[in-house]
This record gives sequence, structure tokens and C-alpha cells, in this order.
Amino acid sequence: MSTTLYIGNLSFYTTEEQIHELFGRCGDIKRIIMGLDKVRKTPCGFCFVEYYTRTDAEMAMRYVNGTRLDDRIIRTDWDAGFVEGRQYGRGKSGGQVRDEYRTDFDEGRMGYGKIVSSKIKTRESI
Amino acid sequence: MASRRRRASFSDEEDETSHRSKRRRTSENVDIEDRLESLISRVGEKSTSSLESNLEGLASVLEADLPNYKTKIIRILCECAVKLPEKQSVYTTLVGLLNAKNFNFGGEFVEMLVRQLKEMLKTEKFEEARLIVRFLGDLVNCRVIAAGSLLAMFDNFVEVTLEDNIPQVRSDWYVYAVLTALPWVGRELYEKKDMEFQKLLVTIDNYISKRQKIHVPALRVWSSDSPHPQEEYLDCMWAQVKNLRNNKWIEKQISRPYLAFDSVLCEALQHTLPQIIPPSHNEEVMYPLPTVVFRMFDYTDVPEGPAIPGSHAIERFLIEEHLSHIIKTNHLERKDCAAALLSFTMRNKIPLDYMICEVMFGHLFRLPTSPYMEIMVGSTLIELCKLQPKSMPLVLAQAAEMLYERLDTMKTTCIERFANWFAYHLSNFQFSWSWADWVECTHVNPLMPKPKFVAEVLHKCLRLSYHQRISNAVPESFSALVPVKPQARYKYADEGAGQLPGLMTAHRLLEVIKSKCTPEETLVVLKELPNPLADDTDEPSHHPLRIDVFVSTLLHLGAKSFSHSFAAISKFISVLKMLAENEEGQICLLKNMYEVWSTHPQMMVVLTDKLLKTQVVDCSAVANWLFSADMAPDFTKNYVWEIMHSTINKMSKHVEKLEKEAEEARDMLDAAKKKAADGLEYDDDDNVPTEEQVERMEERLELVQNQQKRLFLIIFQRFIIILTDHLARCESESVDYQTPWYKWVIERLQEVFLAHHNLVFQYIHTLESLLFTSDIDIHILEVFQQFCALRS
Repeated sequence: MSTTLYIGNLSFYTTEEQIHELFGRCGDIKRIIMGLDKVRKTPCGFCFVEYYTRTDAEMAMRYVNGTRLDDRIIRTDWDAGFVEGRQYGRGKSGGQVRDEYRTDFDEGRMGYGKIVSSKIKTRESI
Repeated sequence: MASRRRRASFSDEEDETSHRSKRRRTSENVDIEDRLESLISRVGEKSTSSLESNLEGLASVLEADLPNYKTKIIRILCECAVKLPEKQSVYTTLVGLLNAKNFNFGGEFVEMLVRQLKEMLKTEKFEEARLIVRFLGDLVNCRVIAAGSLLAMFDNFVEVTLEDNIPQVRSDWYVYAVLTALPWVGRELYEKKDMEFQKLLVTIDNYISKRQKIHVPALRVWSSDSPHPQEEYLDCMWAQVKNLRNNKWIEKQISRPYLAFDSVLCEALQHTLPQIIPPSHNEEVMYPLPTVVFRMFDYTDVPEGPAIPGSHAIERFLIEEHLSHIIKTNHLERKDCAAALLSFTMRNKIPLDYMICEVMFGHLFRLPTSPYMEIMVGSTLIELCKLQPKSMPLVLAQAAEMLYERLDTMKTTCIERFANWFAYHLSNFQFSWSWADWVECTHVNPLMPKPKFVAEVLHKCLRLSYHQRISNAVPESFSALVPVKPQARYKYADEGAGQLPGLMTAHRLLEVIKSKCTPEETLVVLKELPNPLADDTDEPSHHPLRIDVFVSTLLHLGAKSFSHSFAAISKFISVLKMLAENEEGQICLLKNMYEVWSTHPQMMVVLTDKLLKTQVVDCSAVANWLFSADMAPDFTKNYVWEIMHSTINKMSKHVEKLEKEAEEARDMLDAAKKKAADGLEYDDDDNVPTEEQVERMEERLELVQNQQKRLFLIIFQRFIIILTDHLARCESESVDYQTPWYKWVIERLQEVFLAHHNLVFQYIHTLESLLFTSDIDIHILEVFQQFCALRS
């Protein structure tokens, strides 16, 4: 039984400390692994939270999923357990895949998605 | 179904095949049984047809199934009686209808329920037992049970009040169980057995008037009765029942579906309850603790719509109990919980938002401990705001405002829970709050409850957010209460650091660690430092300068995040353990951590946690450090107590774990011995521990149990010392001892008793003879006596 959660839709600016404060309210945290941009090695909007017990992880699924952190509604999902390498974004440009294709402007996640913003840049340079 | 499958996976091959074929054979029955379960447990939920027709329909279905599924139906109904108390009268009506159709069924059901009641009483499941008592009462209304026999059971219960040498909590529970059934069945008893009923009430009245109430101050959320009295639960219940009696036992809250079936039910034959005698008392029994009723609103607080029932109206109790049951049933699904609360059956006749709010805060502030996690309350309140966006946020804001106004007399523990909730709530609503309304708190002594509350809220907000955001969220005038920006302080890089004796070594250490040295290499660097304690004694207990240089430098290097700090500690754990091999060294280490991180309480909380888990420091060292003079400036801050309680919890979890392991090992060994004695083969696949191994485990357990006891003794002793000092100083200077500092500290002492009451009760005799002796100041002793009274 996994005691690890995947946390998504974080702001790139949300820190490990903030995550600890919120998720610590559900139980004793074993470790937090911040999701990083493969290239820049900076936070890219997700993380893993591992608890010592299943019960505590269940509490977080119940009471944190869908509430706010840093003014964003965050998502929690069960994760099979952290494996080295998974802390990196799998998108082409280093971040999460969803940030490649996004078409909205998200201040907490570096503005527009990678593809759209590169189009905008190209247009500006023309 | 799930349990079937689970059981199958444990059984061996042969069992499994026979099980499977049996299952195939009975799968049809299983389907029907599941369908029955679903039908019964869902009756009374929202539906397109009326409750009456649903009940009538279900009764006919069940009647037809009785010949084949009687046992199953009885089992399901008994379960519903305990697990779905908010639908009690739906089920009593259903049982009534079935009894009218099939007298034998009614008899067997009652028999089963009574058996369950006896079992619950024996196994100390008192809340479940109370619900069954209430259910039996309601069965009188449905013509299933004869009124006289119910009264006989009540008599037996109330007779407990006449027993000698029993704790009050025992008689309290039996009286409470009777009183809480009376809103349901009082009218019937009054109509049918008035004389006997009166006698019962007189006995209860006598009992209520002679009860001890020493425990009450420990359980009150507010020390003041203004604006609302904080009443002891049984006193309040009795006042409500007396009012009900004055109203001829008629209340306006309970829905009674059986009234519609009066013509059918009055034809039914009734059963007589068998004699139900409370199991006798013994030392081991844990009765429910008393409570104080939480009240924050009255009718003047509700601007429009229906009025809130008065505090002594039985309706107030009934609504509170009903809402509490809804929360209990749904607390694991916050969205369902919020939706179920808002669809309360009589929602148009009461100010529902206010009642929900009061009950939720009542749970949050409950003493000695809250029945639910704080975040359950917080996240459910957020859901309620989402579902009821026009009214709920306003009611909550009003509630926060009122709680704030009453901070001066609020208990420290509750102020902390309030601050934690409020910060969490604000973090879900963009931190917007009309702070300007509270500006007055910036003009008073910052140790007073209001400014202290605001400072703690802002600190908690900061932990959920970041410094700039929180600074911007409050008006300029609050700047003194905004926490300083958390930052590591590395004194060896400060201006004027030249005076520090360890400066050169610190810089060298910084270099070698940065160049990825081994732990051993750092020891070489530290070696050159002289021990400042060497002048005074020949054998210094620890080396403060080495600890200082090493800890400051290591934490400075890991300052970037929790993970960086943890990694630094992990890599150099052997050095830390060597430097802090005894308690003095450990306290010194913690002091140095404080020097680096005094502006970042959360960092200190997680670092202390890490140091405890990695066994670099002991629990007792942490407690002694928190009480040390160095921590005096922060002693009344919440984070200090966050560390204290987490330390105690860590200790107790460790004890629990070893207890479980030792017990399991002992059981295994005993079982193996028994097998051997019976001449059965010795099975060494089972990893049966040896006698020696088990003894070693038990020795280790005893060791940590003693450590735990010592931890509590240290904490209580240090409380007594600082409080006695304060009281003596105030007396010699003839000033009032009731300072803000005193409030925080004496109530923290109370909190340690309450938050860990199950553990502390084990040591009550030691505490009485060793620490809380008759010669200590009465103000301190009182806290102990109130605690003892909780179970006396």
C-alpha cells in the first residue's frame, strides 16, 4: 500500500516549506520531493509527498485534494512510490508536459505554455 | 464481499477450492443480501416519493423476504440503529411495521438488539450503547416494546447512582443515557406510566444536585460565562429535560414517521424487554469523559429568519446531536459532509448556518482533545462556503469576529486551534480580511491574547505563503505583529565576527565541507578548538565551542531548504552524535540551532523532529532545552509547544511500537510452546523468537517506558519550578500574579495534562506523591486536581 502522493497544479514558486506546512496538518511527513525542470533544475509545478503511514496519506487525499495552496487549487493523487528520476519534468523543454501545450496565461507557471509563448516570441521578433 | 475475498486469500489451496464452489452455490443469495443491505441502509434518503410510502413498500418487501433472510435482515437493522443514528426514527418505524406484520420477527429483533447493548456495555463502547438505549426508547413509540419494561431498564440504569465507591463518570454515563432517550420516549412514559416515571426523575434530580464539578474549569473553552454560560454537559441536559417536562414532554424537532402509521401500529402486540442490568464496575473500565457544552451564539446573533433555540431548550440539544451524527457519519468525505449538513431535515425552521457553525467549532475546540483532525473541520467549512456562497462565508466571518472578541478569556489550547484554523481558512480565501477592524490590538501589550493571536495567525499564514504576501495583506499599522522574514543567521559571517573564538575554525570547516570532505575530516578541523569548560572542571561534559562551530556551519550550509538541511544532517550524523553524546551536549546543540534559525520557527520544528528521529537528541533533552533560559523569549509562542507536543507524541509512538512488538513476540513464543507441549511438530518457518529474544525486547520496552515517564516528570517539574518562581516573585513584590505570561504558562501546563490524558493518567500516583504535593502553590495544584477529577 503506497504512502506517497503526487501533488499537481502547484505554482512554480511554491516551496517545500509551504507544502510541508499544509500536508503536515494531515500527519507525519517522511519526505517531500520537489518536481524539477529537467534542464534548469528549478521547481516546475509538482511534487511528491511521502508519509510514514497509509492513514496519514489518506487524510491528505481527503482533506487537501481540491483546496488551495498559494492561491491555486491543488490536486493530490495516489502514487506508486517515488523512484529516482521521476522528480524531473517530462516535457520537451524540461518542465511538465502540460506546460508545453497550455494556451492560457498562468502567472504561477511562467505565463503561457512553452509552445504558445515561443510562437508569441517569434511573432514579436518579426 | 470484500471481506470474503480477503479471507479467501489467507486460506490455503484446499480451503480455497471448497470456498469457491460454496460461493458459486450461494452467489444468488449474496446478491439478494447485498440488495437488502442497500435498500435498508438507503431508506429515508432523498427520494421522489414520500417517506411513508417508501417505508410501507420496504416493509412489504422485507416481510416477503423474512422466511429466507430473517437473520440477515435483523443484523442489518441492528447495524443501522448504531451506524445511522440520524435516521433513527425511520428505522424504528420500519421495525414497528414489521412487528405489526410478524410478531416473532419483532421479538427476535429486540432480543438481538438487547444482546448487542449488553455486549457494548461490556466492551466499553458507550456511545454505541447510548444509541441503542435511545433506539429502544423509540421502539416504545412504535409499539414494539412495552413502556413498563423500558422504564424498568431505566430504573436499573439510574440505580447506578446509588452504588458506593464508584467513579462519578460511571453514574454520569448511565444517567446521561437515560436523559438523552427522553426527548424520544418521555411523552409515552408520561402518558402511560406517570407515577413510576416521576419517581425516576426524582432520583435523577437528587443525583444531579449532589455531583462534584471540580473538572469543569479544565474543560471550558472560555473561563467566563459572559456572554454565554459554559455549562457542564449533564447539568445542561438536565435543565433541557426539565424544560421538556414543563412542556408536557412535547418537542418540535424530532421527525416521527410512525405517527402516520398509528392505525397499523396500535394493532401490534408488544414485547417485554428482558432484565438489563449494568455490568458491575471495575478499575479497568474507561467511561466517557465529561464535557462542557460549547455555545457561541444566541438568538440576538442571528439577524433574520427563524430564531436559534435557547440554551435550555431541548431543541437546541436535538439539533446539535443530529448535526454531530451527520458529521460523524460523513467526516471522511468532506464534500458529502457539507452537503448532508446543509440538507438537514428541518432546515427551514432553524438558523441552520449558525447551528452548523457552532457545532463545527464545538468539535474544533473540544477538550481534552478534538474528536476530529483540525483540517477536517477547516476543509469542511470551506466546502460549506462553496455550497452556500451567499450566507456561509458571512456567518463564518461573524463567528471569527466573535471568537476574536472573546479571546481574553479563551483557553490557550483553543486560541492556538483557532489561530491554526483561521490562517488555513484565510489561505483559501486570498488572505483577505478586514484587518483594520482589529487595529486596536496593535496598541496593547503584545503578550495580551489579541495581539498574540494576530501575531500567531500571521505567522501561520506566512508558513502557508511567503513573507511579502503577508506583509502586503495587512495594513501598515500591523507591522509590529508581522513576523520577521525567516532567515538563517550565520554568526561567523556577521560583522564583528572577528571577536568570536571559533571564527578561523568555522571558516576552515566551511571550506572543507564545501569541498565534499568526509565526516572524519571535519573532526580533524574541529580538534584544534579549546574547550571553554576545561578551565572549570577536569572532565567537561561536552565541548560547547566545537558544537557551536560545527552546528552553525552545517546548518548555514544546508539553509536553502528543508531537504538541504536534512541532507547535511544525514551526511554528518556521526559527527553530531559524537559531539552531543550526553544531554548537556544535546541541549547545547539545540541552542545553536536556535541561534541560526530563531526567525524560522517552522525550520526549528522540522529540524528538532529530524534530530529526534535520527536519535541525535533525546526527548528529555528537547524538553529541558525548551524550558531553558535561552528559550524564555519564545516560551509563550505556539511553535515551542508544537515542538513539545510533537516530542511527547514521538516518545509515545515509540513506546507503542515496542509494546506491540514485544506483545506479538511473546504471543508467538507462547503459541509455539503450547504446540510443542501438545506434541505437535515444531515449525521453524514461523520465525518463532527465542525466550532470550523476547526477554530482551521486554527489557528494551521497559527502558523506553521509563524514559517516557521521566519525560513527563521533567516537563511537570519544570512547570512547577517556573510557575512557583513567578508566584513567589509576585507575592514578594506585592503585584498581581495574573499576568499575561502566567495565563499562557499555567494553561500550557493544563494543556500537557489534557492533550496526553491517557498517558498521564498512568502516572497519576507518582505525580501526586512526587510533584503535585500538598505544599505546592494552590494555583498549580488546582490544575492537577481538576485533571484527576476528569475520571473520578
